[in-house]
Amino acid sequence: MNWFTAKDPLKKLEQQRQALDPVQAGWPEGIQAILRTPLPSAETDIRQLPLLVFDFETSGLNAERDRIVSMGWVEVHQGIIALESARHLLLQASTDTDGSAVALHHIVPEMQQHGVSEAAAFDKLWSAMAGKVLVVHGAVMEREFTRQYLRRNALPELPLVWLDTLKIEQAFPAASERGAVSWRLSDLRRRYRLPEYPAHHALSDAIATAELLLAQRFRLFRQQPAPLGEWVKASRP
Amino acid sequence: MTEELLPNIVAFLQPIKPFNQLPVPVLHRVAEQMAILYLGQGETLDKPTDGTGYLYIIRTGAIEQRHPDGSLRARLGDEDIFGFGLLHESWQQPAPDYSVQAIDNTLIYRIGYQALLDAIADYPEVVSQLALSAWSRMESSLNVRWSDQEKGLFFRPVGDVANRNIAVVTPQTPIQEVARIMRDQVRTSCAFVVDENRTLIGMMTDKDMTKRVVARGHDIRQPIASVMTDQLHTVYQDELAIRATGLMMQYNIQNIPVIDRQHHVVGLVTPQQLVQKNSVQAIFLIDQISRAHSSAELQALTPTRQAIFEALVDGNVSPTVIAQVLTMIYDAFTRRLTELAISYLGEPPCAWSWMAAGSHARGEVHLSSDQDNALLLDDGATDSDRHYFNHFAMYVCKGLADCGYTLCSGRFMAVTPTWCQRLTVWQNYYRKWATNPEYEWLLNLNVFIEIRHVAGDGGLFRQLDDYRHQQISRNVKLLAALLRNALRVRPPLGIFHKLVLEKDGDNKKVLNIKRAAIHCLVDLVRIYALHADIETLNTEDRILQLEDRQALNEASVQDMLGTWRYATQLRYLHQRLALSRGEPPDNMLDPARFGSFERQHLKDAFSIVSGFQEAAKMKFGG
Repeated sequence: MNWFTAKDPLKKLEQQRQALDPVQAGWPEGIQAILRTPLPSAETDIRQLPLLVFDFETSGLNAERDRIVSMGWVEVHQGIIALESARHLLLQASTDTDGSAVALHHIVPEMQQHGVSEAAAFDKLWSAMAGKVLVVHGAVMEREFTRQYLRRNALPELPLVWLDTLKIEQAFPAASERGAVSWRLSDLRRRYRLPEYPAHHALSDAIATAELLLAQRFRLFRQQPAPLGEWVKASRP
Repeated sequence: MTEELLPNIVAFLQPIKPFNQLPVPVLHRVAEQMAILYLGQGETLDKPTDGTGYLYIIRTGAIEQRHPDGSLRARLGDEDIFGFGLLHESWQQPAPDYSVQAIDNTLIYRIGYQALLDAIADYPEVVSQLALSAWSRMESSLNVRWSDQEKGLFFRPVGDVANRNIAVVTPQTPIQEVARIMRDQVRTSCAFVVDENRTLIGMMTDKDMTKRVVARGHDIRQPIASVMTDQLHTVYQDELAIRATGLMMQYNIQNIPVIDRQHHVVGLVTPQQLVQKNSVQAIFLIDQISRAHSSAELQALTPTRQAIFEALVDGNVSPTVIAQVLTMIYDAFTRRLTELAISYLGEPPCAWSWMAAGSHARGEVHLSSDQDNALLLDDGATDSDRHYFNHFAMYVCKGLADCGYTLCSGRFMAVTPTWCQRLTVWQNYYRKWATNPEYEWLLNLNVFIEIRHVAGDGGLFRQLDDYRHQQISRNVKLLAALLRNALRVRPPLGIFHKLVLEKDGDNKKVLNIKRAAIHCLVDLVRIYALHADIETLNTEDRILQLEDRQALNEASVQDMLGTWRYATQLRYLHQRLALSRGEPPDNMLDPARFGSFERQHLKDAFSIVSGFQEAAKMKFGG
């Protein structure tokens, strides 16, 4: 399972981090914390690394036009999912009047009015991300919506380490998975004989993803160390 | 966090005992304190290094617990709770150590024990069910069962039923003055004697006045303290009336003082009170039995016996008292049948004793108890006398069978000629069994190792009983043989998902609670009791005496008692449920009817029994 190529993506990210001066007027504290923390090396066993597993529910697939409806995340330390770190944020609707959010996420407009602003939500998210490896199932959406937010608010591109449980499964499919099947979170979990959780709830999906990652770690590495570099490579978009 | 968080965790916890007794917002607080672990097949659970004690709930998968020597402690599956044994228990010397390994890929929810207790602090009944020691958890689970049905008089606090019109005197009051007070106090049959703190120290009934004062010509100017009864059976006013009934039946007494928690007497309860207000008349069953004129009349009383049993179980009466009451009823049926046999067959030609054996002798009767009995005859009995007693035994055994005490499948009954014998023959039996404890004889001894006189000549019985005791007590060779025999049956530790070992007549898998736990305990406790030369027959009494003689330490006694009461209670509850479904009340529990928490208790019970078997093996050398 040698997935190392000449270029180590983590080294590249670390260079990117060092090139940025964290102390910039107006940057949220969380972003400064991300920039202050050195990145882990490719050899580190992911069991030793703090992870932030998260999920966005959005009003659509287009990061430029659509918006984030809710965020949920949970931290994993030493291979243990700590529910006391679990957070779920509903984001305020701006002028969104299409019913898609309601239809998909059962979040009615009144609930959204009690939510937090997009800026406040991201500020909390940056703080949670600092010093952690990020884990998402099907990370394309979360990466795109994050990038869009940074761009819109004149913030720098951040040196974030992303793991994607969907890509990891596709890179190392179990024998039974050859010949392409569904890679949806709930279907993958069923294959790992993990319990059924309600879908389309950002926090519930984040916890579901965290469990899937632990199950993947055991299937792929058993008692052996699971070096971060291999996970990062397998997770590349 | 908002209410809707962690719905997956809360939905999982909601049906699981004892979490099902918590409202949803509290479950959310519990869920927030949890962590999720994944153990791949073959992986071992790391001991927490942060000094925190944790409980674990298996979400999906299976684990095995093993003792340090590698022997299996338990196998657990979905929804099982574990970790109690990994926590330090203050009353126990070292916390028992075991390792936990996944035998399947397993998802586990973990919660800090202290954090859990903090989250559920407002729900003491749930806290007690999550108590650290297995026996106290079992005991608390005995106390949470309450019937939702209309409870009737017997299930009301005795304080509601008691007569508060009572006569109270001091110990110095002259006897005549007490009699005068009793006369002036309307509708009371006794006086209570209290000290300067108003604590109840004695009582005097009108019957006592007749027997101890009038009949003996006792000086009526003497203080009442010189003649009063000072050994009292009392009930607290917040206890159930059925407990007072239990005491009346158990000790054959009519007047029971009702006291408050400061031991101040507040009332009196008598059978009249209970009968006046209730149609069940349970306490008169024994009276009715002793006056029945035929076997058919006795048979007609069987439904009343069942009604009393149901009332006792529904009233959450302790399994100890239920066993005592059922034993008294069994004795009463037996005694009356011997009387009826005599009136049918004529006077017996020689002295005899009708003996109860097995669980009936030990006072551990339940609703599916079958017959274990025997007849002991005077050594002068001739062959024709034995012929009389064969008919006698036939009459009694058939009568008992008609009253719901099924015939013994092993034919350990007086109606079998082998078990209807003269004193010397019985003495030979015991000598043979005790000196040459081979397997086929052990089977006989196992039934007759406990015997109790029920009817006939008590003096004759005592001759045999003394001989029996002399033969079997402190007999090292016999103890070793009994131990080997006791270890032939092991509790089903290899339980996983299903608690199952046997198949019943319909080929349905069932748990035989008698075989799996009750018998193992009876056998082990007997061995300890024989070793300590304890003469009492009842298993619970034996355990308590073993503690008095320091033959067992306090922790072991608590474990043994807790497990014993739990297992016997479980059987009574099962038999009660079977009756309400119109099924036969037997020992066969359907594991599908257990919740995961009950399964956990059972597993705790089995591992305690198994631990005692190991300890006995070490001590007595199997």
